[in-house]
Amino acid sequence: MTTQKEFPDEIELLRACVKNDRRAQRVLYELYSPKMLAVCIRYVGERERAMDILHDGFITVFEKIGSYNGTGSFEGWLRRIFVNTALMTLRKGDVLKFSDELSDTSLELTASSDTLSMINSKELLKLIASMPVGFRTVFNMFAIEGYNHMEIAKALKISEGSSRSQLSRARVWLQNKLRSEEK
Amino acid sequence: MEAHTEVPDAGSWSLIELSLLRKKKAKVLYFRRALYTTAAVAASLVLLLVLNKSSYDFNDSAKVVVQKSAIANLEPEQDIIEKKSVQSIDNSKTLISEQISEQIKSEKQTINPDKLIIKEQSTDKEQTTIKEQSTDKEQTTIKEQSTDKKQATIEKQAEQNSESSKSEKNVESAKKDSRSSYPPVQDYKSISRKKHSPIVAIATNLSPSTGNNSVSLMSMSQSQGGLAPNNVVSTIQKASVPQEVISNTKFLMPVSMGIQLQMPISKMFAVGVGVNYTLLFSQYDALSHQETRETEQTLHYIGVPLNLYVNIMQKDNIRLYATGGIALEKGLYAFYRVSENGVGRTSGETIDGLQWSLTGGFGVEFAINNSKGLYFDPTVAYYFDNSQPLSIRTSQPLQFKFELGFRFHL
Repeated sequence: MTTQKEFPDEIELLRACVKNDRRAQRVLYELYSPKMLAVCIRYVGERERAMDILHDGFITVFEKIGSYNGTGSFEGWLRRIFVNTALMTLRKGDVLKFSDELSDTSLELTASSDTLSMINSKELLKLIASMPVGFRTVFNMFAIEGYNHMEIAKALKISEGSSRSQLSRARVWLQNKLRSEEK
Repeated sequence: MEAHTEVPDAGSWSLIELSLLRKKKAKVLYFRRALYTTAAVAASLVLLLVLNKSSYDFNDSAKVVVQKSAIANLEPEQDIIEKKSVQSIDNSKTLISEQISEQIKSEKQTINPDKLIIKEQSTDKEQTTIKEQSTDKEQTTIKEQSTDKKQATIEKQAEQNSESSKSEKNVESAKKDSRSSYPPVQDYKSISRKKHSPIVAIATNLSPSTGNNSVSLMSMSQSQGGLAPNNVVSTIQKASVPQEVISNTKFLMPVSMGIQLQMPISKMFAVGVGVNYTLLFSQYDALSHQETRETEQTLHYIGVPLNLYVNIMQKDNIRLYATGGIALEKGLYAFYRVSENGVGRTSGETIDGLQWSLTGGFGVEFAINNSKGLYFDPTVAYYFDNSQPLSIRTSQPLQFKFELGFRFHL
């Protein structure tokens, strides 16, 4: 059984991974797979599909790990790969074709961020997982990963307006869900 | 929320490790395929060059052989012949013959009649004259002269040292032998073919494209209104696909064989129509915790290509041309060999619909002789999306193709 004690230093661990050291790769997997699986589930909403993305994501990580230049957090770099892998999977299924742009911004105004702060993260994750895929993707990228609408639009190959409308709808959807659960 | 974690399923690392190993193997395999393809193309080119050289040098080689044999036979009397040649320019024929006869007598050696000196001067036109002169002592000269630009002179000197009573007969036979050993004058021309004659071509076609996709079958089958399976394999797999399946798809090199009839419609253009048979190979591996499924798919297609050929250049026995056209193919049969946890079974289905494609490229033909040619057509083909079973063509619609074959000029 490989243990993390074999590679106490992250830099040494990454260097070993670059050299395709299977033991190091396994340590890296054990270190980050729980967090990355949670990220994947947030995006695709299903554990089964998230496991597929986790698999593909780690394959990409081990292939591209040599391109990590050490600037910035490794976890951030890793997270970007998994988010991109999840987005690619969603794009394959054409689920990111958002055709409806919202011209009416009133929906955005009605969504209150106070409501979201009232629930704990586990409940919120459960809610996010049950969101329609379009809402969920944009909400994840904007509210959790910190992407702006321009970045979201570029990543999902949609317009910025579409990104905004999906976010507004996601907020309204969440609000309605919370209200209905309170009742 | 960022600190939230989920424990992955047991055995997920094993699958990642397996995929990493497969990727490594695939890289080696891809490298090998690239190497084999390069070697095959290089070997084909070498073959073409060898064939081209041998056909091009056919007449030259005849000359060389004649020259070599003459030189070889003359070796013992090289000095004598050189003297004789110089003297033949400076002195009269009679004097030469006398000197030669004296020298020959003094040497008392036999010289074969095939001792030749061939001089050739090439010009544009092809008018030649052969003059043959024989001396008393068996000296023969063949001269080819052209009036305008081309002059070809073949001088032949054959000497035979024999007794005077036998000499005349030997000279006659030597003349006959030497005449028959000369290649005909028209052999010096490059290979010429009947214009506007139909051509039959037999060819094999290789497309060096291969592909490798890692996809989740579940993600395809579960996407609502998304990817409808356009593949009978997917349909089979979808019917009983287990949860948490990771699949790997490999597309191998397509192979075609065919025959084509080419009809020249002018000096520049020709139209070709034919029939070809294509095999497309794919492999699908699906792995899950419950089972391992390996599927081999072979698609059989029969097609009718219609091409236009435009001659770009024709020199000696090499012809360069551009080609472009359209092809219509009908899928005949899809054959599957499925192995589930080591238990094999086979199945098959007919393929619906037609596959349309466009091709374009260049080609080169090397004339082996008047009726045969070896050709090599590197082309690019684009396969339209006609809802055909998953293959390298659906995965990579733009394909490079290398066609190698023989053409028979009727």
